[in-house]
Amino acid sequence: MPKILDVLSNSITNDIQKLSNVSNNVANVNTTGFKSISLVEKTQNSSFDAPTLIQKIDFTNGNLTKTERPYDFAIQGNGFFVAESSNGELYLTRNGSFKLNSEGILTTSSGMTVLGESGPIEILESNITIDSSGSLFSNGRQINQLTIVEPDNLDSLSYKGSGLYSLGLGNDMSSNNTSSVLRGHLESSNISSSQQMIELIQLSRHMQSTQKAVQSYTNILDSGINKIGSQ
Amino acid sequence: MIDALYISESGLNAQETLINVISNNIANSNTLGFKKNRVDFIDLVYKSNDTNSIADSKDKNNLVGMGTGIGSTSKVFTPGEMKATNNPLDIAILGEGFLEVELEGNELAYTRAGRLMVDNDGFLRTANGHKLTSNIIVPSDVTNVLISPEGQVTGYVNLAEEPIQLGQIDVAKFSSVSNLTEIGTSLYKESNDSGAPIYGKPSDSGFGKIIQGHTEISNVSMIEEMVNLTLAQRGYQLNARILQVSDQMLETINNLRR
Repeated sequence: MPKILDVLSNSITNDIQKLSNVSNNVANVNTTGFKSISLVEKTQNSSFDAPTLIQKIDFTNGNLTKTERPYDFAIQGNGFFVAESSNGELYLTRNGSFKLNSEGILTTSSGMTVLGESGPIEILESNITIDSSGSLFSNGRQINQLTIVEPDNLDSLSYKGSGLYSLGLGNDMSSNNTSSVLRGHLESSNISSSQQMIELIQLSRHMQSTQKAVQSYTNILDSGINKIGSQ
Repeated sequence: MIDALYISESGLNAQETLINVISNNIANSNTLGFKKNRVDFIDLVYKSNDTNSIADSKDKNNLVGMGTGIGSTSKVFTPGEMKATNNPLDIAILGEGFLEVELEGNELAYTRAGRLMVDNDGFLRTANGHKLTSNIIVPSDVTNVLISPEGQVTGYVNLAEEPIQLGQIDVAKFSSVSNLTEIGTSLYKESNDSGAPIYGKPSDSGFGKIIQGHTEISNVSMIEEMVNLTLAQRGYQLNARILQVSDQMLETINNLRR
């Protein structure tokens, strides 16, 4: 028996995966720095099966919201902040909602140290100023600069959750030229709710079409088994 | 069951928490010294083992998102507006710093709500009844109390020419103000992450100055709260829609074979 039901069942599984993905995008509509993920079909070779799905992250910049908090930063452009975890691993992030820890070091909201050009950023005075290149000035003198990295190939970033991306092998952390840092602002998620709703409509109708196909197939089997050759 | 149900549940819970926080901010928009709260969301992820539908032969791990969660709820310590009250015992701190008060049990707490009063023994207390650790006594024959921007408290007895020195109010600041523990009635306690209090005189560099006759009202901005409320409501509606569609898809699956 041709594997028609297998193909249809894989198609339904794909639809459910896509639904989970849309649901995750929509649940994170208010998460800072969240990047919309879409599942796209990999181009098929000639095998007779439902396509496999690949994750694609959309790195379009989200809108900026003004928060006026002194340690909220947003990047305009394609750069990323660099954060170091407690075991020395480096991650890129767009979530610029930073705070100071008990030693006055700038950290991400989950406590990872934010890297600057001259090491961890220590802020002891409250009257520091930050310009659009991310340089920090205290009393007019530059004390550090936020490290901003622009990867050459955005698709090589792999997502580790909580807004953190790690660079694939072979990408070096070259500092950027084109991004600028805005203080007192945060980047909101780049979900387009209309796009997600349209995807949702497509999914549910596609599921119904698949259901029709399954029903037709069972009718054919029914005719074949019960009707052919009956008196 | 399908993951979309649980993911949209996490979305609904998150937006509901946001609405609760906004509601608390708005309820306290007239509370002296109140600092607004804000919520940071994070996305929840797990690693996918399902190689059937999400397969990628390259080295990337394909992580499937599992919705959203609360990353942290934190206080925003931007300054509130100064309101002139013409009450000589109202003080506001313009700039950084907190007043240190003593609670029952000799614990120390910190506050920006500088509405002061004199108790029966003459001690300066906050309007909530907590004694300032500066331990300043105002004798009952003092008619006019002056508090300088440097925190010096002086008093005039009746119509005397020279004022008498009553004491000094110091302020305390912290390395990481957003990590203070909130205990209610505009009081904050030191925590491990906030750092130890750094004491100083008002108007010293890095410390705010004391403005007599003013109070600091909350830093809640109604416009910002309304905008966030709209975002929360629409976010809630979107997640509810996904829940409905997931339900319909499950119904379709159940009816594949009548």
